[in-house]
Amino acid sequence: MPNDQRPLPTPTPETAHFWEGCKAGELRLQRCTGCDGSYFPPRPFCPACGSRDVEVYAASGKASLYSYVINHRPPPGFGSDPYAIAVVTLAEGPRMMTNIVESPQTPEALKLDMPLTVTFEAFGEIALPFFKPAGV
Amino acid sequence: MKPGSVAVVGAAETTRMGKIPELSVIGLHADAALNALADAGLKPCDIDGVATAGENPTAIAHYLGITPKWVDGTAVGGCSFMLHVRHAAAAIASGLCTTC
Ligand SMILES: [Zn+2]
Repeated sequence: MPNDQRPLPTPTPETAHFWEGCKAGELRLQRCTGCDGSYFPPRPFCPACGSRDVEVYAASGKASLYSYVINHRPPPGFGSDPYAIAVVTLAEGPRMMTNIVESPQTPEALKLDMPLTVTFEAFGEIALPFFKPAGV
Repeated sequence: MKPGSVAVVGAAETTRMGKIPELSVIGLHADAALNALADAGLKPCDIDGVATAGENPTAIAHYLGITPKWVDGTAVGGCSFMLHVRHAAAAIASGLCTTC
């Protein structure tokens, strides 16, 4: 996205592992050691069963396009071109809101269920996880 | 509603008191909520109503893994949580959320 000056997240103690992972080029999820469920966004307990016995692991970075909307009125900091705000389903199960990069931001190019791969873009001290069409 | 037909069955604070640098604001809410759930012998999925102040009750619900039928975000200062108890009793009595 040209002229991208979007607001950036401030890592918290519970999300630091995720943002450190992004900086290291690794998409980190968490899973419950009790019920085995993966979840996102990060938190120090399992949202399925409430257990605090959870662990961090590196996800595959594979996902599929679940849904999106093309925003033709970008807010300040998001450039001036239309861009897709997407929800992807990670191979491990959780869904994540993100942008699709290295692709035209059009319905013709963005097909639902299309396979995607994570890619990280650095914005100073923060790296954001985006997704690109698999094989690109 | 008959007197005594709604009860507080679990109550808790954060696991530790004082400075808790390992938890964010939403994490403090969740820590206390999980402790209250444990006190009541319940799991997040048993809950269908959430009231809180200082954070958005829907955000707290989703963070805890709860899809709420009823939320209350009344914020009137330090006594907000007293109003939440009263609103929760009214919500249960009127059937907006359940206890089973
Ligand atoms: Zn679990």
